[in-house]
Amino acid sequence: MRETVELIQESDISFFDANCMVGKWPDYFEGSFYSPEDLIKEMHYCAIDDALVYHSLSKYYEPATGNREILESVKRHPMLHPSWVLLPSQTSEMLQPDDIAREMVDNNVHAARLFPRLHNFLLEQSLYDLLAVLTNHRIPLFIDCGNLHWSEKCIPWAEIRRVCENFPELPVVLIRIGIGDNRMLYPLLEAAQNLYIEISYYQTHDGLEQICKRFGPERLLFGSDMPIFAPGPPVTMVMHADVPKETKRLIAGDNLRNLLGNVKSFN
Amino acid sequence: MCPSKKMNESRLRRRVIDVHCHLGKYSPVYIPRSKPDDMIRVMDAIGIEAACISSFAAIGPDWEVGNSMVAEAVSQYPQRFIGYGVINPNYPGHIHDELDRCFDVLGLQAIKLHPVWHDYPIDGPNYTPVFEYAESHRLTILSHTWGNSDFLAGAASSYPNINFVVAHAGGWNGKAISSSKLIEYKILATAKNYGNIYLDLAASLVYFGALERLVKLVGAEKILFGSDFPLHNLGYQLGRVLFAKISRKEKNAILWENAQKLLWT
Repeated sequence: MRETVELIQESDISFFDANCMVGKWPDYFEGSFYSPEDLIKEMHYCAIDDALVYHSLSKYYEPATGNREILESVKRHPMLHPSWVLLPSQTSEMLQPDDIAREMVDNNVHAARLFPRLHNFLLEQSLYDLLAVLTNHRIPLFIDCGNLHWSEKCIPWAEIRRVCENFPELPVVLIRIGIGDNRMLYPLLEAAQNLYIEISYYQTHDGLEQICKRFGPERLLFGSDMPIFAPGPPVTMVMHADVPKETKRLIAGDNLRNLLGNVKSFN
Repeated sequence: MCPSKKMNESRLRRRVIDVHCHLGKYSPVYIPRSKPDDMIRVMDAIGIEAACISSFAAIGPDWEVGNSMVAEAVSQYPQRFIGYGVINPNYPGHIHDELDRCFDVLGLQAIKLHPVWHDYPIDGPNYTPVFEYAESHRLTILSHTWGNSDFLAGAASSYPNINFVVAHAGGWNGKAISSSKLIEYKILATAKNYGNIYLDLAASLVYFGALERLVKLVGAEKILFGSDFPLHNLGYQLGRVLFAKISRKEKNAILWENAQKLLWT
């Protein structure tokens, strides 16, 4: 058996991690890390070239505070690309959607993230003004429903289907999809061409191969969920997948690069 | 120095035994291509030499049907599959007969217990004949859970000829009770104090630094590579060992040597 890192180095596959966090978090455990510098160290260890990162303050304290903080965190680190966490506009905890999108684009923030379960809101019409603005600028939307174990049933599939149907030009990325989700996921991937999945927890046997064959390789985005989870397993899964090298390249990073590269500026 | 460079300097061909695999379908989850031929194809591609398998049919509805399926797979690939006989404690009148069939007729080599799916406590009396049989036949028992550490320690003392394997030990995040709620620190720590208790890594949650912590706690000699394949992706599960910041010697012990000693000596 060849060493996985060796395979990556010889393959010219460039990994771009779609799912990383920096900053301290409440249930931190010893042996993990929280600084951008340590994240970069771990990325080097696993031959990951780039990462899309949000700040823990955005998730666990207040999105606006964390969103400012992430810009500072990535300033000196070109490998790290900022992502902002958003909320529905009605409570006025953030700027109005147009202004947020302008700030995102001005600050090179090319991805938005929602935590509907943790932040207590529905993926329904209250959110649609925000989603319309994201769609106009082709800013991909990452949805994290907070599912820890695959046996939990916490993903609001019907709401996600309606978001995809109402905003067919909006790239929607589901975070931490697990092995128990396939019977919900496949019909949705078939119905919604704008749906993507991040694979940090997608350890279905033959899973990447089946999705590539049925729905196309562009639907899969590599992610690790560092610093909570280990990056080695999803890296190894991609490298050992029974798909052509060009497909691995897409899953590892090029699909995400394409999505982030499509973001439109204000004219 | 970047570990990947070190790996380049020390290219080696690893041997791997996976002590926690299954066979067939599992009703809550879609599992593509899980027949013996499919599994061997993946094992060949990744480099897994042998897989210890139990049938989902045996853990689920029918242990006799499932154990026969495993025996058939083992007879098809005797060098690659090692069979677990699953015992369902809810049919106490059949336990002796099925144990005899598994080990005298079907040629299976170890026992798999699943107290959660069978909804029967590991310290319940219906498991006693299983432990007695395993003790007299010097068998290894892999169980989905062992209840609490006191029970496991007591069983390890009472049945010194059994090798007890604690499943799903790889998901530990270093807390007294991990958020996966599957494994407790005290159960893991028990392995260090008993020569006949081992830990199997199979777990869907791979917390950052999990294997490094486990090696520090119990030593690599007590850890066995397990994946839950084909429920879980074999490459994904293997990645937890290949990328762990432990020595090459420790990786080899976990991936091959410990299981080899357990199963064939």
